Amino acid sequence: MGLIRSIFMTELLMGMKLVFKQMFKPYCTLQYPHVRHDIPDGYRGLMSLLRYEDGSERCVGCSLCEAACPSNCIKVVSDEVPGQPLVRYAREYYLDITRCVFCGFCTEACPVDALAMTKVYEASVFDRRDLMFDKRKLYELGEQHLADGKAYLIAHNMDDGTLFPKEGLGDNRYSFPPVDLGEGERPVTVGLTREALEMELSKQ
Amino acid sequence: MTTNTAKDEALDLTRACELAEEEAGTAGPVIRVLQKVQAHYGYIPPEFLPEMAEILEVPLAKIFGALTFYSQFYTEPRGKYVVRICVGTACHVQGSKDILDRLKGDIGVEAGGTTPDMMFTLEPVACIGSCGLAPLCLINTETAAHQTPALMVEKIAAIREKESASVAEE
Amino acid sequence: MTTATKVGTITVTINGETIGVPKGTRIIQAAQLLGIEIPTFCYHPRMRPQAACRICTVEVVKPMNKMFMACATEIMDGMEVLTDSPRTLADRRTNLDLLLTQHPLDCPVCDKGGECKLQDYSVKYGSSENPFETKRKDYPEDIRSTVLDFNSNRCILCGACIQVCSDIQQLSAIGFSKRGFITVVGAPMGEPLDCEFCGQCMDVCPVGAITSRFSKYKFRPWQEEKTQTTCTYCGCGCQYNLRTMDGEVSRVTPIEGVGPGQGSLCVRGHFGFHFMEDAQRLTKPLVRRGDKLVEAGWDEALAEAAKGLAAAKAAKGGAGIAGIAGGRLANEDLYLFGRLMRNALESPNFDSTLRYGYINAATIMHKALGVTGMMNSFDDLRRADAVLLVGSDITQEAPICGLAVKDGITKRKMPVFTVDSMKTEIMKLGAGRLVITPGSEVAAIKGLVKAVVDEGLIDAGVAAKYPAAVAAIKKEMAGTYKEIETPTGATKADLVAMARAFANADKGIILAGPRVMGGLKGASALAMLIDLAFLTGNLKPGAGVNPLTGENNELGLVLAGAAPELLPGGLPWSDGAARARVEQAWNCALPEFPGNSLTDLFDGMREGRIGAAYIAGTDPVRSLPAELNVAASLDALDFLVVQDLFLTGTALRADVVFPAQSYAERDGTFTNMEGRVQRIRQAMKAPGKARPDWQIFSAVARELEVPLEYAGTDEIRAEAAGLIPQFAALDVTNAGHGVDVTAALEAYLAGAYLKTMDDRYDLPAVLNTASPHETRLYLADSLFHSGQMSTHNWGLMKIDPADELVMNPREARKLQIAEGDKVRVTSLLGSAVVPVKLSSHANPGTVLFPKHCAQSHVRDLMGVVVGSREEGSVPQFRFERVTVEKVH
Repeated sequence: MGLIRSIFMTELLMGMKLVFKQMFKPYCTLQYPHVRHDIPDGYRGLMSLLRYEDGSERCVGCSLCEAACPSNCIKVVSDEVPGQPLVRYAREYYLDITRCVFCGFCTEACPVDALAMTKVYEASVFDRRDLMFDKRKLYELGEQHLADGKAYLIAHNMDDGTLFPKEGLGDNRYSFPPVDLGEGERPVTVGLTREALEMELSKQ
Repeated sequence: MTTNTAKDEALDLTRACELAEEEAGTAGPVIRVLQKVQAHYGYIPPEFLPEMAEILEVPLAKIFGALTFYSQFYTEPRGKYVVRICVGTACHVQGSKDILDRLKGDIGVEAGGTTPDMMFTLEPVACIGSCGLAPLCLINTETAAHQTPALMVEKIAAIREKESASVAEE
Repeated sequence: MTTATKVGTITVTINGETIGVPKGTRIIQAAQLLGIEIPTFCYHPRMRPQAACRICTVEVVKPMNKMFMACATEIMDGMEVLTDSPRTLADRRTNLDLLLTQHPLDCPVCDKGGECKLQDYSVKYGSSENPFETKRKDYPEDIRSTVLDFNSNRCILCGACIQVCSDIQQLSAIGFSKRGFITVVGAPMGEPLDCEFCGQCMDVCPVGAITSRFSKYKFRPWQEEKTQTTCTYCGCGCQYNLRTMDGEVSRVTPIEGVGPGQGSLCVRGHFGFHFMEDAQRLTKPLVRRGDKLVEAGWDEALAEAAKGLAAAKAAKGGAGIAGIAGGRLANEDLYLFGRLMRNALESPNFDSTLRYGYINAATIMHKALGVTGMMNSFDDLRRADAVLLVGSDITQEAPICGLAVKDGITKRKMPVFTVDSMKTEIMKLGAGRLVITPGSEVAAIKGLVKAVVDEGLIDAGVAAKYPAAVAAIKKEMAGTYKEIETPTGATKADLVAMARAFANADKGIILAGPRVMGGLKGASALAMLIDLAFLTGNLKPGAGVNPLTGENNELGLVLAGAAPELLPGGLPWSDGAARARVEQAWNCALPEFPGNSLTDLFDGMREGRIGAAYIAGTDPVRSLPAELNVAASLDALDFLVVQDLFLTGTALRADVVFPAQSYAERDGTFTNMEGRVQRIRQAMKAPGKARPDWQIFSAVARELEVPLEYAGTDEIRAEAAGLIPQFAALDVTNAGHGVDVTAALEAYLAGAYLKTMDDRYDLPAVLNTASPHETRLYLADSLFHSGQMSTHNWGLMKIDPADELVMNPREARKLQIAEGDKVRVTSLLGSAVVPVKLSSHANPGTVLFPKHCAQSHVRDLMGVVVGSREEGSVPQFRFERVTVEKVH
C-alpha cells in the first residue's frame, strides 16, 4: 500500500487538492502594515490618560486604578496641585506596559473617566525601558487617540451622557468650593491646566 | 433695651463683663449671661464672647455653640422695632408671604435685615402660635392679627411718623 | 432597677449567644466581648456614649421589644438583643441612606477613602438606591489652620471630634455652631483653628471631615506600610504606627488601646514626623582636616576616632576621656556606650543629660524606695483619689501623662492639686492650686509637709509604726509659716487646705516635675515629697511619688547607668556587690570612686585633665548657657568625637562626626517614664551612610581592639538584661507599680534617712539676690518642641516657630507691649532681643521663654548655679532675673 501511494504521489495530490480549493476562496490575511484591520471600539489597546476639553487633566490621583490593577503595573503618586489648595491630581503616574494584561479594570475603576484604552497595539520598542510609560507619555497617547478613547468609554458603557456632552464643559469633575484664605479669595480652578503643567515641567 | 447707634463704634463691654462676673461659678451660667447681655445691649456683641469665656471659665467653643444654636440670640445690633411676620402654615395660607414681600420693599431690607438707621428689623418667624389670628404679625411685643400688606404698611408709616415727631420735639 | 449601679454579674443574649457581664455594661461592649460587630460612628471606647449617630441601633426583643442604641443602653439582666435581624438591618440602611443624602460622594479625592467608616458600612449595610433626596451642602473647606482642614460637607455631625476635644484633651477648641442642616464643626467665632493640634479630632473622625494638611492627598491607606514604633519625643513613650509610602513617612496614626497613651497622641508625636527626612541630616562621617570638617568613609573616620581616643588614654589615662550621652539614644546604645566608656576606654567619666535634673530622681528614688523611675503607672494615675502635681507643666512636658490625669478629672472628678509658678492648663482644671513665686518649689513643698505635721494629718498607721522618723520630721518643722509664705507667696490657709485635701484622699499620687528635681536642692525636694507621701500614708500600691522625665529615654539613661554615680541597672556606684557583678560580666576592673559629673568634666577639659570626649545624642553647646563655657571647654580638648543626627553646635567643634540613625530607621527599645521597655522598629531607610548608634559604638570598640560584637539590638539587650533585669521583658510597666516598697523604705528610714535630715529642710537661698533686675525669666518646656529633633520638623516649626518670649497680657499692657513687638531682655550677663507673645500662661512678674530655642541666645542670659554633690551637681540655669523693655 505504502509503495503504491508513493508511486502515485497520492499524499501530494491530496495536499494540492486543498491548495487549489483555497485558491478560489477570498483572502483572509491582510497586507500588514500596508493594510490594517478595523479595530472595534471596545478594543483594549494601550492605556492612555485623557484631558478635559479645556486642557486640564482629568486624573485626580485617587489611585483606584492602582488598586484595581491585577498585575500591579500602575503606580500613582497623588498630591495637591501646587498653588491650588485642595485640588487633587496625580503628580506622577507610571504604567509598566510590560506587565499590563490589558484587562481594562483600571478604566472601569476610574471615577472621572480619565483612563481609556486606545486602539494602539503596536508596542514594540528597541529599548524595554521605553515601555515604562510615565504621566507625560500617557497624556500624549490620550491626546493622539482621543477619539478612540472616547469610543472605548462609550463602547464599555462608561459614559452616562454627561461625560462628553456636545457643548463645552459638562463633566463629572469634583467640586472644590473656593476656599477662604483670609487675605482675599484665591481662585481655584479644577484640575491641573496645561499651562500649569508646562510651568511645572519647565522647572524640572 | 437701649438703642444702638452706629455699629462700628467701639462698644463699652464693662456692663457685659459685670453681668458675666455675677454668674461666674454658678451652674450652667452661659444661657443666663447671654440673655442678660442681650437684654442690656439688644444683641450679643461677638467681641464680648472671648472675655465671657475667660470670666466664666467655659470654653469659647461651647459658648459660641449655644449662641449660634438658639435663633433668639442675635449677634448683630437690631432695630428699635422688630417686625416679625409669621410664615407658619396657617399664616402662609392666609397670605403672609405677600405681607413679607411688601414690607421688604416698604422697609427696604431683606428678611432678617435691619435698616441702616437702626429703626426696623424685619424677621420672618416660623409660628407664633396663634394660628386663629392668621396672618399674624408682631411689632416688638404688640400683636397685629388678621393683617394685610396694606394694614402693615400703614402701621409702619405710623411708627415712622411717631419717631420723626419725637426727634423733632428734641 | 434600683440596684442598677451595683456591680454584679448579669447575663445578656446577643444573636443567640449568652454572656455574663458586670452591671453597667452597655450592649456594644458586650457585643465586642462576643466578637459581634455593631457599626458605630460616634462611639469611642474611651469616651462617654453620646448616641448621636444612630447607626448602632439594635433590636432588643426581651424584656421589651424595641430598637435601642447599642452604645448607650445599659444591659438589663436577661436581655436579648439581635444585631442582624431584618428590622435592625432595615433601620441601619435607612440611617445610612439619610447620612448619604447629605454626604458628598467625593471619596476618590477624600483622604479618608479606604479607611472611612461610612464607606465601609455603606458597602456592608447600605443600599445602592437612596430613596431620599436633598440639596447637598457646598461649604468651602476650611484650610486656614496650620494642620487641620475642616470639610463641613463630609461631616456627618457625629460629634466625636468635639467630644475628644472636650473630654480627653479638655480644651474644647472646636464645637458645633449653628443648628439643624446648617450645623458645622469648627473653631468658634469663625476663626481659624489655633489649638494644641494634638490631632485627635482627626483620628476619631469616622469620615473625611477633618484631614491633615501635612499629609494632604499624599497617601492611600492601602498603599501605606505601617510600623508600630515608640515615639521619640518625650518620656511618655506612646505607641503609634509610622506609616510610610515608598520609604517616605506619610503620616502617624495612633493605635487604640495600646501603650501608655491608649491611643492618644500629642502634636509632637502626631505631626513631628518630618525630621527624619530633613535635608540637614548627616549622611556621611566627617573628619577634621585643618579647620574644616570634610566627608570621609566609615573606615577612615572610625580609625581616626579610635586613634584619637587611644592617644588621649595613653596620655592622660582612662580618666582623661569623657563620655556624654543624650536621652535620644536607645537602651541598647546606652548600654553599649557605657560599656565602651567604662570597659574599652577604662574611663569612669561617663555622664549624660540626666545631669539636667533627673539624676536626683534616680538616686533618691532608689535610695529611699528601691524604685527606679515612677512608682505608679499611667493607669494608676487614672484611678487615683488625688494627685498632687509639683513643678510640672505636665500638659506641655509630658502631654500624655497629662491626659491620664485629665482622664481622672473627667471620668472620676479626681481632685488635682497643682503647685506651680505658671498658670498651667492642668491648674485651671484642678481642684486646688498654689501659685508660687518662680523657683520657690522647695519652700512650697516644705510648707505642705509642715501643714501635714501641724494639722495632725499624719497617717495613724505610719505614726504608730515609724515613730522615730515621724519625730525627726516633726523636729524639722519647728519654724513658722512666715519662712514659707515669704519666698513662695502662698498663704498658710492655702497650704493647709491643700495638705488637708491631699492627706484625706485614700490613694494620693505625687507627681514631681523638672522644677523639683532640677532645682538647687533637687534631691532634698524630692526627699521632702517622699516624706509627704510617707506621712500621709501614700507609699503603697496605687499611690506614691513619681518623678516625671523630660527626654524620651531618660529612664533608659538611668538603667544603663549613664551617670558617674550610677551602675547599669540604675544602682548606685557605691554598691560594691553590684559593681563586682558588672566587673564580672564585662571582665574588667571598675574604680571604687565614681567619675566626674558633667560640669566637672567641662572644667576638666579647660584645665587639661581631660583630653578627649565622646558625645552622642546630645548637644551641650546649645542646650547649656554660655556661662558654663561649654564651647570653650570642647575647644580645649585634644580630640572630640560627636555622634548625632544633625551637625549640631557640638558637632561643629568635633574632630570626628558620626552620622547616626533616627528611631525610625533602626530597631531597638526605649524605656518610658513608667519603666516600660518598648520597641522601636525600622520603618524606613536611613539617609546616606548613617548607622545605628550601637553599631558605631561597636565599630569604635573594634578599632580599639576591645571587641563588643553583636548581631543586633536583641542580642545586646539579652546581654544587658543580665545586669539590668528591667530589659528582660518588653512592654510591661516596670515602674514601682504594685511593688511593695516597705522593705526599701524601712532600710532607708533606719539608715541614710536621718543622716540627710539635717539639711534637707534648709531652704535654698533666693535666686540671684544680687541682681537688680526684677522680672523672673523661666526657661519653660514647650509642647511643640523639645530640641534638635523637633526644630528640624518643618511642620512643627510652622505650627509654632517658638522663639517668642511669653508675657502676661496685663503686664504687657502696662509696658505698652503688644503681641509680636520686639523686646530686649537684659540680665546681669547680657541682653537679647526677642519677639513677644501674650498669654496668661505666664503670671505677672514672670516671663517664659522656650527652653529648647537656641536661636535668640536667651539661654545665654541665664546665670548658672551648680548644685552640691549631695544635690546631684545639677547645673541650675532655668531661672534668672531680667528686665524686659520694648525695643523701638
